[in-house]
Amino acid sequence: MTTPALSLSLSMKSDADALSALVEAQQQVGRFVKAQLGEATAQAMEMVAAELLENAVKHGQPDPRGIELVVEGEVRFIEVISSVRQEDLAPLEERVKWLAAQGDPQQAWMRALSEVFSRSQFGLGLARIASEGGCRLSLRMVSPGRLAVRAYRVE
Amino acid sequence: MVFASGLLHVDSNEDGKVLRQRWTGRANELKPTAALDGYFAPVIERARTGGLTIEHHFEKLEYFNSAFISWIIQHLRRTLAGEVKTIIYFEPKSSMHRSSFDALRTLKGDNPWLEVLEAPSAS
Repeated sequence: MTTPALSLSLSMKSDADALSALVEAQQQVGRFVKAQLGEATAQAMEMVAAELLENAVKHGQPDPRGIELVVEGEVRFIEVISSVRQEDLAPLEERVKWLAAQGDPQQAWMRALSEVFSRSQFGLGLARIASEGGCRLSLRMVSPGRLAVRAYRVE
Repeated sequence: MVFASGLLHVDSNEDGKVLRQRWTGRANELKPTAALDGYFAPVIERARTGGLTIEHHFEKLEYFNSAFISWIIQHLRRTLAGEVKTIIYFEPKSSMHRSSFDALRTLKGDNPWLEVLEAPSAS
């Protein structure tokens, strides 16, 4: 029998709301994944969900539709859909392209960390999803201004 | 001295030549920099002027996000610039800890002011 996906809708009106909603969503993802794939994968996918959601908050703009999170029934991917600021879209696309071009996610992680060491500002979240989370990333627009970021689990 | 913000706690104490920082809880603030910098600026200054070592014990930290990893690196840039000996302990059984702290160990190269060590086993 196919396991139904886990779908969450997060509504955040303040930073405090955002933090507690993120923690709650992270825990729900952890329980969902743990029931199917065990503790180690659950921890990794909790992190993936948290980093995707934090990116959605960081690059997002107010939208009554909030942030949607889906964990596919067999945990083949986690997807977060949110409204993204127009000026943040191109840097996100560049970041995903950069990661894909690096080949080895561990090497990409090391490069990302050394960028933070030498230049101070460099987003680590997506590189962490690829290395520690063992996921490939893709972006797509689902409607004007609404971006879906999907992290596919690589077996 | 104690730092507490959300689910994150740091207990700080001075023990001889060591300023020991014991981290517990979850570091998941979206923008942790201002609060943590405010707390650690006097710690770094105390270490620099007194020739003390800062020890960060992260081994009991349950979770940290990438914003926190960025903060650690920025903090290390400051301690290294001030020639403050800094020692990081992490939990080697945690894949989350290993992923970030092993990488820091590689990045530090032969810098004599930073050590990144596996915490001794609790058993």
